[in-house]
Amino acid sequence: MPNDAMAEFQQIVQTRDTALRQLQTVEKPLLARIRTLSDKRRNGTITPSESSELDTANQGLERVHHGMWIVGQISLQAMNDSNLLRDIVSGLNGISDGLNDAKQTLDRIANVANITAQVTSALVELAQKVGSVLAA
Amino acid sequence: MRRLLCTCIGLLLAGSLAACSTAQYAEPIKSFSDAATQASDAVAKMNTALADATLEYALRSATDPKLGSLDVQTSDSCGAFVAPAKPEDAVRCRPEFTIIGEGGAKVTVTREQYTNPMGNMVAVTAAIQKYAANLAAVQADNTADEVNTSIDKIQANLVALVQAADKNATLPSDLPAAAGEGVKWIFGQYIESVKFDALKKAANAAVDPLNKAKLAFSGFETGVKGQLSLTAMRDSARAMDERRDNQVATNRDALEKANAYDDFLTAPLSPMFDNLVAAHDKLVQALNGSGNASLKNFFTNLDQVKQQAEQIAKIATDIAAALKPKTT
Repeated sequence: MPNDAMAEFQQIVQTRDTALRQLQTVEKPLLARIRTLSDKRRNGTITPSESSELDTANQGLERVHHGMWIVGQISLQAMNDSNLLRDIVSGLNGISDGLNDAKQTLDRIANVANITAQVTSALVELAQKVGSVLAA
Repeated sequence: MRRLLCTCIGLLLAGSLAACSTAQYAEPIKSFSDAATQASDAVAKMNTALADATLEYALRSATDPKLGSLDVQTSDSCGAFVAPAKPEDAVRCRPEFTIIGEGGAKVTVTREQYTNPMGNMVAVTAAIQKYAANLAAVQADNTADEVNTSIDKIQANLVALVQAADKNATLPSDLPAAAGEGVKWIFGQYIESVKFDALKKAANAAVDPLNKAKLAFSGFETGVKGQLSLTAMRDSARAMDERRDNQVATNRDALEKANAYDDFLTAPLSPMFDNLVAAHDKLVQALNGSGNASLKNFFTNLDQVKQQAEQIAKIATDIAAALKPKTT
């Protein structure tokens, strides 16, 4: 079962990475073109047709990024709901419970010593009372 | 003969309990616990930043019907208030976003996703924090001190008891003290062995879940950075291209944004976790027998966790500031 959980998680990551890589093949040339045309615009050498091309490239980039956001969102939701995270939490909580048990064992040892001290103290009081009664 | 037998049994018992002191692990375990808390806090802050960014993106997308919408999940019954017998019977009015992609692909963004998107990952870091705190609690347990105090009392009581029974009784002056110290030592060794065994067993058992958490964190890092690049850090990512003029003020603004984006891209989300797990591995090796030699780079790992957690917390704060509506 834990291996299944691990495989499930890795599958989500792989699917996401593959989808993002595909989208990046569209994103990269758009970004490069936008960079070139933005430089031209800043230097005042951009032509009207290039200015229009820049707008189109920016719109295209928006669409690609929207797609990337959707892929990212779906994969984040799937990762967050994955059995792997539940397995990790339950495993660690089990270990914490074991440590709590050990702490309780230690507390019990201290408790036994403490009660023994109280009992012997009570015995001393009793012995002292018996002693004083017998002396009288 | 009897005394010899008792001495032999005592020595055997003492030998079986010796060499299990946990004192040398006090500082490493406490430091590990502190680092786990810092890492957990940093992840919680990043979760909040991602939540805010997700909501912002969903709200923006919902203003364009081609990109998304904001609706109530059960629109037919929502608003028809009928006093429910039990809270769970109430007619729910859950608003949620539908974000539409190319080709009609849809993703639903519910309240959980825009308030606590990495909720289960935060639960993982909280479980690590709890485990580390329990490890520290067992190590720092003061049962031996409590038992020593009780043994002192018992010893004094026994002397008083003998004297109460017989006022003329005389005890060798060093005998009760010597016996008490022996009992304390045996108890002390036993308590240390209980603590050591618990620490060793727990730390070894935690290796597997911690390695799985490391893998999960690595998967989340790409996702979180990707989503924040496209939302909260979007303007920063595009700042250098967006400069329409070449003036000092716009260049300065773009420079700050571009540097903030670069810091964000190199935010050590996964390395922080790698360092925490690496430190834990060294602690396990030390508990398994290699002693302090395994702890050589332990504190270096934890110092890095501390620095990385601070870096992540600062980036999360910057993201939150970037998402705040600008007041002019």
